[in-house]
Amino acid sequence: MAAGVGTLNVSSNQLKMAVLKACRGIGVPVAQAQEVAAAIAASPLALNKLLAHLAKPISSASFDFSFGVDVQNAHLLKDFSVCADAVAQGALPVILRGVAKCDVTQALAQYHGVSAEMDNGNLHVAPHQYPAQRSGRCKVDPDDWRRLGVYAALTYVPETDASRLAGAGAGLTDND
Amino acid sequence: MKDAVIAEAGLRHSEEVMRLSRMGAMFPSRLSFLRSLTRRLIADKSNVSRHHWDMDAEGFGTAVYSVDLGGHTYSLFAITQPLDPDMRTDRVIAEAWDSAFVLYDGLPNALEIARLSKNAPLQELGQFTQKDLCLSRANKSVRLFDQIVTSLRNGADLPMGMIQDIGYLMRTTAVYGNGKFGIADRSEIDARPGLQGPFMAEMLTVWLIRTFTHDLVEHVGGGKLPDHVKRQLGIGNSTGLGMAPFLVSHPLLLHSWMICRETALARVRVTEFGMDTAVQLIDLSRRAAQHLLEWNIADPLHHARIVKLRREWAGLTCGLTAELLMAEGALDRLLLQSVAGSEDLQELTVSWMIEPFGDLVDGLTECMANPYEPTLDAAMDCAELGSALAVHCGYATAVDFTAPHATEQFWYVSEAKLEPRIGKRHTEAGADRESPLDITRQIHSLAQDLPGHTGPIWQFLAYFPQHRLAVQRVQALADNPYSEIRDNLVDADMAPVDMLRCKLSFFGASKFDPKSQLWTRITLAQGAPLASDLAAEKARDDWWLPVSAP
Repeated sequence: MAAGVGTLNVSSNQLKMAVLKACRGIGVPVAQAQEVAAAIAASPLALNKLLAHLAKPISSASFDFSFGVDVQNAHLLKDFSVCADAVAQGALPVILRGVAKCDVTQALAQYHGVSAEMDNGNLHVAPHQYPAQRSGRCKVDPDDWRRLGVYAALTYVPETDASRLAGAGAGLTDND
Repeated sequence: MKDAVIAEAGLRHSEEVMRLSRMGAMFPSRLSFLRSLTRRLIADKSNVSRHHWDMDAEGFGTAVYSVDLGGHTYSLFAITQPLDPDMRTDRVIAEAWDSAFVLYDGLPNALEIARLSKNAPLQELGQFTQKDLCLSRANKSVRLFDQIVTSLRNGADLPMGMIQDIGYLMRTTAVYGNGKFGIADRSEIDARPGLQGPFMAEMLTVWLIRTFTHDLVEHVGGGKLPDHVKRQLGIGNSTGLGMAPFLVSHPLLLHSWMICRETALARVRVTEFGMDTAVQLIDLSRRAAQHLLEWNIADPLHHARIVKLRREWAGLTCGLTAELLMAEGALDRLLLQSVAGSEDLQELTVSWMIEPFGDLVDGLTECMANPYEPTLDAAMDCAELGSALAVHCGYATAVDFTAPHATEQFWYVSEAKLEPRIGKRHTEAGADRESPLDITRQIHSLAQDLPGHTGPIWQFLAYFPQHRLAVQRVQALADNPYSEIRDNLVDADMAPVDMLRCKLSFFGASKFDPKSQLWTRITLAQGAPLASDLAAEKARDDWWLPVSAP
């Protein structure tokens, strides 16, 4: 996506919070969602590809630790963290089967300080060093932002009359 | 060079300090952020200038104030508009306000003023830029504002009783920072002198808003308020559930705030001091007594606490003399004596004792910012984590989460303007979209699943990815004992107002006025130096606990 006319200028924290909610919205556990959010905030160009991962149902991965780490049926957003942990602990090779390299794998790899490269159709995660990353304000595609918001909205609870009156503990007018 | 916190041994234990009931009894102290800010403004000899004032006779229009701090210029943009009384609510669901504000980086030109005039009133729906550091809105205290205007117009006596009781002309209903709704990220300013501490930009915003409210009422009333009256007029704030999650989602920052306060107390307990300080302590104890007398609120439960505290405070401080206070270990004995009383008494005692010892404790405020979040120690062995759970997390593992009351409440964000709310899990829909503030329950769940597992924790987390957050939090507790609230935040008896009071006390709030267990009003900067005090170089860092002007 070329940033320019028709883009939204968002703060880094705004992007981070929106990604965090979106990940939580589809069922990514909170800690992993925080890591994805920080990774995307540092690599905002990966937002578009993130949407494809958000569209995938959360799967239950199977792990084989007999030689390094071999992961089948992974959901990238949920399971990349533990792969990076394994790399950090020297449990090599770490292979995510059936996961393709994309902007999101690269963003997560940078965030965790590992590499993520394709080999024989699988994603191999290995030690790597990057220059320090700094998140900053960025431009995003308005349609990507809207679609991200749809996933984030999965964490919001529809309003009822009762919750409007009692859920926040204050009245509806304050003319005192 | 930064000050440093002291060894844990001399501090009150986190199991004692990090209970909700105690956090809900905290008072502002000289370590509070607004105090730090005003000390910095005084040290910098900062001057506030009113660059722009375009108000009609009814007080509707725009204004810009600027102040130099730490080598940078910051401006408060203010806009006021007529508001239908039916629209005036302090809730997040409000869609219009009496006034809206932006703390601006630099001095806005005419184009920028036009941009801010268009967007600030829209608040969450506005479009903001990196120049916009904080976004806020406020509603009038209609009774007090109108009464003062009437007095000024008629040349009549000011309503001093109301001024003392209410304490502000406007109350903010939100003060947003750190990138919210497209404003600047905190990372853009957190290295700047004067803004390095927690919430400094937000504190600068509210202090400048207070200045604006003084000018506005004088403008509409067509007369001047005496300075001693203006000092009595702080800035109000109405705070609901939106503030509480911050303490849960920033555990290491919470630890930094708490350990600085506990370190300050530990230093004071063992320090020796002279007659001047002892006399100051006596004076401050009388001020505290007067403050308690003047702190009257409608909520019967909380007011009963204040009434009890008045008696307890009199009991603790009655008969104190400077000579008695100067005896070796006198402060330590007083603190121990306070433990026989309520947590309100204990926490008031803590704030009181710290107050005269600026030289000893003010440097700690440099340690209160903490940008870090818990990370996973993936190498930790399951057995080691089990030990950490046993040593640090008894408060969580002991809870019976099969009992319905232990999970009665759930935190959530409403679709309606994303207002944070609390629901009843067993009778209301929405718990499947619960906000993850149930850390105690998550730690409990981790402790249930961990037994029987061996090897490095990262392998355990491959099978139990849902426990990653809990593992991080437990690991963090070993080195950051004040990082967790040691209570169950979804229990039927949990009162969010306790979390609000803790955070607000760190801001420097006083006159807590809970409207329910979910909501409170407070006063900020009541008694604080005025902009004119800074200009005249007569501003003093002596406004712990506001009392009526002599």
